[in-house]
Amino acid sequence: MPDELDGELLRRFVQGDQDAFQSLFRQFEIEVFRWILRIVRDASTAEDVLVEAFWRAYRARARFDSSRSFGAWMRRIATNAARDHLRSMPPRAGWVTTSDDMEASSNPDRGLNESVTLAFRRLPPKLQVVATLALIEERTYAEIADALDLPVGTVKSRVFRAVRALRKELACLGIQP
Amino acid sequence: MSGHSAMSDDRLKDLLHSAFLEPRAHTPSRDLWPSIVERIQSHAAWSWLDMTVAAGVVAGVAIALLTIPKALLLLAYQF
Repeated sequence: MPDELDGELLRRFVQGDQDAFQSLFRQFEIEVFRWILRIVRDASTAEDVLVEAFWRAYRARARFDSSRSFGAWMRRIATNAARDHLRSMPPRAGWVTTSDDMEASSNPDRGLNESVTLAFRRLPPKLQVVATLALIEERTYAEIADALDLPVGTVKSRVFRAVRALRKELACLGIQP
Repeated sequence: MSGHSAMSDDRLKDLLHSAFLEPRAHTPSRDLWPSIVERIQSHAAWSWLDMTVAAGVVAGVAIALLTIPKALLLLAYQF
C-alpha cells in the first residue's frame, strides 16, 4: 500500500479534517478494495464493505497513532469489516463462484465447485478469513497476522483448524481431498 | 500445514482454487467517496428518531422518579 504519507496529512485526519480523509481515501481505495475483494470474492459486496471500512476508520480516527502506518491500520479495519460481513451472511448463502466478476473456472465440474464452496462457507467466519488468505490467496502468515492484528502462531493455528474442519466438511459431502 | 499430508494439502488447495475463482475486478465500479460522505453526514447529526428515543427515555425516567421516588435511591446506588 502507498504509505509514505506526510505526518501533517495524518494529523489533520485524526483531527477530523474531511479533506485530509478524502486525500487518504483516494490514495488507499484501490488497495483496500482489492484486499477486501480477496476476502469477500464479490465486487459489489467489496464496494459496500469498503465504504463500511472507511466509515469505521473515520469514526476511529482519534485512536489512530499518526506515527504508524495508515495502510496497515486501514487493512486491519478492512479485514474486520469483511469478516463482519461474512458473519452477517446466512450460513448457506454461497460466495460467488461464477460471475462476471470472476475469471473463468479451469474446473468444468460445477457440482464439485459448489460442494467445495458450501463446505467452505460452513467454516466459522474467522476461519474463513484466514483460510481464504492463506490457502486461496497464498498470503504469508506474517501478512495475515498483520491484517488481523494477531500473533503469527494464532494465524497458523487457525489455518490448521480451518484445514481440518474443511476436510471434515468435504468428507461429509463425499469428497476426499 | 503439516508435512506428512503435503499431497492432500495440495489437492485441497487445487479444489479451493477451482471453486473460488480469481476476482476479475481490480477497481470499484464507481466513485465510492460520495457514499462515505453520506455515511459521515448521516451520523454527524442526531436524527428525528434519535431525538424521539432520547426524549422518550428522559420522559420515562422523569415519570418513574415522580411516581416512585424510591427509584431515585436505586439510581443513586448505580453511581
